[in-house]
Amino acid sequence: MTNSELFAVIRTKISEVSEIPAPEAKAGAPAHEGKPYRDPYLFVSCPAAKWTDLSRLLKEDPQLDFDFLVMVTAADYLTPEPKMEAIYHLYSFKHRHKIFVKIPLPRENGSVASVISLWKTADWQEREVYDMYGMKFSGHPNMKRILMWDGFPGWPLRKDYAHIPDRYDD
Amino acid sequence: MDKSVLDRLPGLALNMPGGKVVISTVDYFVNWARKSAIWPMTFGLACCAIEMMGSYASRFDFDRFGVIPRPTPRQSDLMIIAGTVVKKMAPMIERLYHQMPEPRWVISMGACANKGGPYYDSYSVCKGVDKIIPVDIYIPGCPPRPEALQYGMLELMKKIEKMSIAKPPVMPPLSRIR
Repeated sequence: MTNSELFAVIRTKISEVSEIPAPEAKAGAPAHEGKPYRDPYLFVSCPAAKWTDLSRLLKEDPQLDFDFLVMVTAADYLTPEPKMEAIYHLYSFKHRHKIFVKIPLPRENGSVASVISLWKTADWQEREVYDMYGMKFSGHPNMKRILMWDGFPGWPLRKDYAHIPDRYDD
Repeated sequence: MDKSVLDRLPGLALNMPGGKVVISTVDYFVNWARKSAIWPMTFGLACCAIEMMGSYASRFDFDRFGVIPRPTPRQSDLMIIAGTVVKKMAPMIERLYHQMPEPRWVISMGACANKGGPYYDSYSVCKGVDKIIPVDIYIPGCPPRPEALQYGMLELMKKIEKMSIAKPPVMPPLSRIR
């Protein structure tokens, strides 16, 4: 299934999902030796309220059948407008297609539905995203820090993170 | 007395005139015993531990220096800090150090243990293990080769030779574990 066919299948079920086009190469950027500016995967944007429906559709629809959660990560933007994104990378071993789903969230008190009931591997990855970015995953049974210790101040991978020196720093 | 012992220890072992007694200093024999069987703790933190394991294994063979890894800090003389010391691990390192019997030594192996290394600007890495425990030998490298670790061990042996039981080293008190 090509990317456009994949997107058409999703769009017929959930109309709020929009495709993110590949970014234009900046003027003066080096030519990628004929390669596209971004990997030719399907990138879609999904509002947080629709992510529960979309994740179930992606997992259970026989045409889509994304049976493998490759990665959960996030991104933090201060410009042009401050926002965060939870990013899910899914793959289908049956159909050999993959998709990136980006879920825009507010920077403060952002919350997105956990997909641990569909893909169990989301457990530690969502905890890591919470640890590094501070976004909550509602429905996660054990939403606490995984890498940093309890009581660590702040969210280290946020753009505006300011480190507080402690006894282990110079 | 066997003549070869006197040849091997000139100035330190003396034959009593007409007797079969060897005289030496207590310091020399204590330090000789200590440096000849330095038992490090089996303890690795990051990729430097791979080089440390290579030092123990047959190609480089740390055993020929009398260096035998011990499974517990209670039996160890030496702690080789092999790898990145993260702040989450630092209280445990301090506790393990204080569980070792005196006299005890510390080798800081690699750039991370020395000063944070490539993670100097990180939020999670301790900027050198000497922030928490006193260090005897610093070994540069990322990671150091097994030869470098063994050279560091020889330098530690030289340091042990200069110790005196009349002046025991002052050990720091156990700080409050946070």
